[in-house]
Amino acid sequence: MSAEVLAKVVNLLSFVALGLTILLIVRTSLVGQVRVFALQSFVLASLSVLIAVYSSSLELFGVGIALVAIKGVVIPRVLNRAVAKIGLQRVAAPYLGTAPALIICGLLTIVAFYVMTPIAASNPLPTADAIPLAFAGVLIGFFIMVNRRRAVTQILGFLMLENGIFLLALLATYGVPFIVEMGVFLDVLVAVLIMEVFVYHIKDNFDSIDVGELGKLKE
Amino acid sequence: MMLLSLLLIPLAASGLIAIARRRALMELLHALAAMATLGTGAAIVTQVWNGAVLTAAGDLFRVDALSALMVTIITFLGAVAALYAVGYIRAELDDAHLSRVRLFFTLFHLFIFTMLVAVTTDNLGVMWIAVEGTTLATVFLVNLRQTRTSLEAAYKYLILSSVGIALAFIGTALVYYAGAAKAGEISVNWSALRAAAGLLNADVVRLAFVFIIVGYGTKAGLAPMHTWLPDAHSEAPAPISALMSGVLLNVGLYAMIRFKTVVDAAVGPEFAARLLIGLGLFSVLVAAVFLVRQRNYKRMLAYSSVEHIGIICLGLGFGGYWGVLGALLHMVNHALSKSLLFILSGNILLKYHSAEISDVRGLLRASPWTGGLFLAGMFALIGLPPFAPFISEFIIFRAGLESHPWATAAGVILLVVVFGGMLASVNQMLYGEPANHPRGDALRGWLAPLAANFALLLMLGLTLPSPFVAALEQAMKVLGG
Amino acid sequence: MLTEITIELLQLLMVMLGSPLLVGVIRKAKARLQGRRGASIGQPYADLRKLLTKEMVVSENTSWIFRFTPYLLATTMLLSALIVPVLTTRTPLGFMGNIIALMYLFLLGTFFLALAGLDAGSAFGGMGSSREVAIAALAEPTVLIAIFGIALRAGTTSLDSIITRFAAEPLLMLNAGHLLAFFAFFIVALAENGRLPVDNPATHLELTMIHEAMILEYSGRLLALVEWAAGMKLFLFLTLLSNLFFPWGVALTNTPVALVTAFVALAVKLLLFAWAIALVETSVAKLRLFRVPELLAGSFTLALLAVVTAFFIK
Repeated sequence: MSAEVLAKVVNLLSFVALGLTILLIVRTSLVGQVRVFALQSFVLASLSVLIAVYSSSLELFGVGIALVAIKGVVIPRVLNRAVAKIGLQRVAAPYLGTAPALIICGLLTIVAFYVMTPIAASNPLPTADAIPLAFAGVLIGFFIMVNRRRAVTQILGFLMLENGIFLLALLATYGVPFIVEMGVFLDVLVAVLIMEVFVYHIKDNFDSIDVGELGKLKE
Repeated sequence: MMLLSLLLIPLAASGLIAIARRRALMELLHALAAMATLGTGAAIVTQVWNGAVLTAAGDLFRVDALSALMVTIITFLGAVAALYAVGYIRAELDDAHLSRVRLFFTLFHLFIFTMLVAVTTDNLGVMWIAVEGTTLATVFLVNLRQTRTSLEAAYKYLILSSVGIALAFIGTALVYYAGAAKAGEISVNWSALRAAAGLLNADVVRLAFVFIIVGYGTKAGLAPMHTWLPDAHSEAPAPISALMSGVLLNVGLYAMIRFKTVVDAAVGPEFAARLLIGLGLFSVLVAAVFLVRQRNYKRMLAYSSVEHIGIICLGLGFGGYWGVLGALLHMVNHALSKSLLFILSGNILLKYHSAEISDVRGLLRASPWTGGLFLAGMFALIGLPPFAPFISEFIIFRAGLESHPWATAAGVILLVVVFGGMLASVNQMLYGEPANHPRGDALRGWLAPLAANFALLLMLGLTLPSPFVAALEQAMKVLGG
Repeated sequence: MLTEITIELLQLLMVMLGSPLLVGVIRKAKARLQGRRGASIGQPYADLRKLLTKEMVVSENTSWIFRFTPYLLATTMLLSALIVPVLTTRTPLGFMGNIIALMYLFLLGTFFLALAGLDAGSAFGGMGSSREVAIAALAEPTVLIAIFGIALRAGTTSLDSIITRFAAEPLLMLNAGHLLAFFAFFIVALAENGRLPVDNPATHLELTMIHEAMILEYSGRLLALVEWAAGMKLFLFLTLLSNLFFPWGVALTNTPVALVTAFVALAVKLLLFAWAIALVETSVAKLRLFRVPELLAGSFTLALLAVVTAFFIK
């Protein structure tokens, strides 16, 4: 496939990934949110495989497979188990409603473009145009962590942030060295497992996973 | 070989403790491991300071003078805290909570392991993984007491640190991109990047450093990313607070410094200097404002850490021979004094069962050793002679006086504010009539390692021995100063 | 010159006569999806003819606006039909085919319809008008921004030039900005034409009426005009969607072959869109009124993303 076609397809898939991040703001059910994350991981893995085919890089292929395995299967399973254990929750309203949050997403995307376009412009790779989209995903993941009040959603926001960073590295340099990539995945997996344990602790202690309740330590 | 064993000892210890059954065995393994790590560390450091640069595992690990300085801090204070921890944990957790005891000692050495990897690796990606590893290793340690407040503190710590470090990864990836784009396949190794720094794209490097300073600055406790720090450091058990405040913050700074060397070589020192001075001053300001209102002595110490990290950043930002020397010296001095004070706070907590300043009275009379050392430590922390931090702070502000007079003036004023605030609280705690607490220090014998801290603080305050200065100068050469 | 005027009139006739057919097809498709046989696709024609013969009852409390609005609606729609490139891009009035002007024509009709709803002084009418205006206030910015997204990429706001340029662009369907603008525009089309999930065209319940509430007072000939105008609006919106975003088949020259191809292509595209709308209407429930801003905010974000890509990604 030619560089132009690759660029267009990469663009499209990056937009889909960004759209899935934004979708996390819209969906309110925890199970649905986990599903959105799993879907995004699959999209990123397919992007990784696509670029692996284009640049004939075996490493990226392995990275894609690891991505599917860890972020597409294992982590969603862990999170689903946590969600099932928590049971039904009174939906704690996020700090900002859906409509303003969506508009903020649009604004964050503009900010991301403003920041990252110089980088994208100086990058000779055909995948570089989508770099700002990846960074927008990072910013929106960060926004989700700040805006939503349920601990599991915060974790998902963090995971989407990590996905955005992975995508950024993938688009800018066809990924970082293999050992680093694997180490990052391992770190993320362990972090999620730890966060899962914490969610259980929070549920036991505070009887809800509304992190707004965690407000005693001020000053 | 020795380098690898330095890393393997805490890792192996962690694994062995995890399967140990009896408390005595755990404590023995723990103490032995701490001592062994200290010994190996000392051997390595001596070699490096005699001019060698140690490498291991191909180009994965590389110990130069700067890394050696960090290894000294980690292993020395690790040993001090480890020895005290045995007594502290005995007092805090009885045999009914054996699983938590095992968790503590296992994670303790895992924590040391991740910190050592972070400072000895040449690969910036592995450094990132190790720094994230320190967060993951310490999270459960912060929540050891499993109360509501410690849970909140640990969760905030986990989330904020992870987000910060994720941003640091963007910076790392961008630096890698800058290297790969310009000169072909440059790896993510620091030594290679440093050598090729002149070829890197300036804009990308600048943007990358912004991410780095925000990301690793979160780990180092720079304001405004410091909000997890007072909670986490005050809720953690005393020996862990000592290590987190004294050592882990320095590791975060180390990561920033490694990138700073590349950035300075690529775009000149003014860019990083401006950022460091700005954030450093802001940290001192925030710390001063919050510190004077503190009613919890552990939180007060935590905010003091933010302040001192700010001072170190000011030193790095001021630059020049004296600025950097002062900053490196202050890293050591702050580590010594802060760990001393946190360990003592553990004693105070055990005796008075409260972390509120108002609940602690007559410390000097009730526990003379604890109180006396606490007073000395406080003097050191707020920068009074004859203790070492006075020297390093003086050097830093002297360095800044010519180039950035306004920042220096502001910093000094804030220091005076902190001085007053802390002294007032300390006076409250030390004097007066102790309530009906039994006389005598809690854990008196276990305070013995602190003698080393005290001695060093005094010695470094009275004189700067030349081999030490030579070692610091070697580290400064790495920084390009 | 003569041929072009003929073609123009042909387009006009297509819109005039084709819109009830389109409405009929959509209803039939919905019925089929719901498992019913449904009325024949020619039913809207019968409805219009019936309405034209019925007696008009006009409230005494209304002003001239009430009688004027249906004629205005029909006129703006016919005018728009002259501008929109239904079959071909080379029309004599093509120079007026500015997409912003088109949106303003539509909005003019909406505005007067809202006024007419208020005019009769009934509770339903006022309620419908306020709801309609609220939705329009949210939808109009989205429309304009989606249009900017397309116009920026094409470099012009003239409908004809946009279509010509898009038809020549390779890999159009892979262009992210294009798809984003399409989805934004589609959602807005649903909102502007009173389709589910924004408004139910088949309901007369107070809770759920928007468009139907505004025209509740109309009867006889005026109602026929209003219904016909609504059908034409839908036809034009779908034509825009088809020809702007899937420009293949639109006649770029005025040869008979091209025109026939364009006719067939348009018929196919409109059929597909009719089925798409029927599918959407059957599968989603009507959104509660305070949730409509969320949907429109979502489409606004999509449009914003489309503009951003057009700006930054060349």
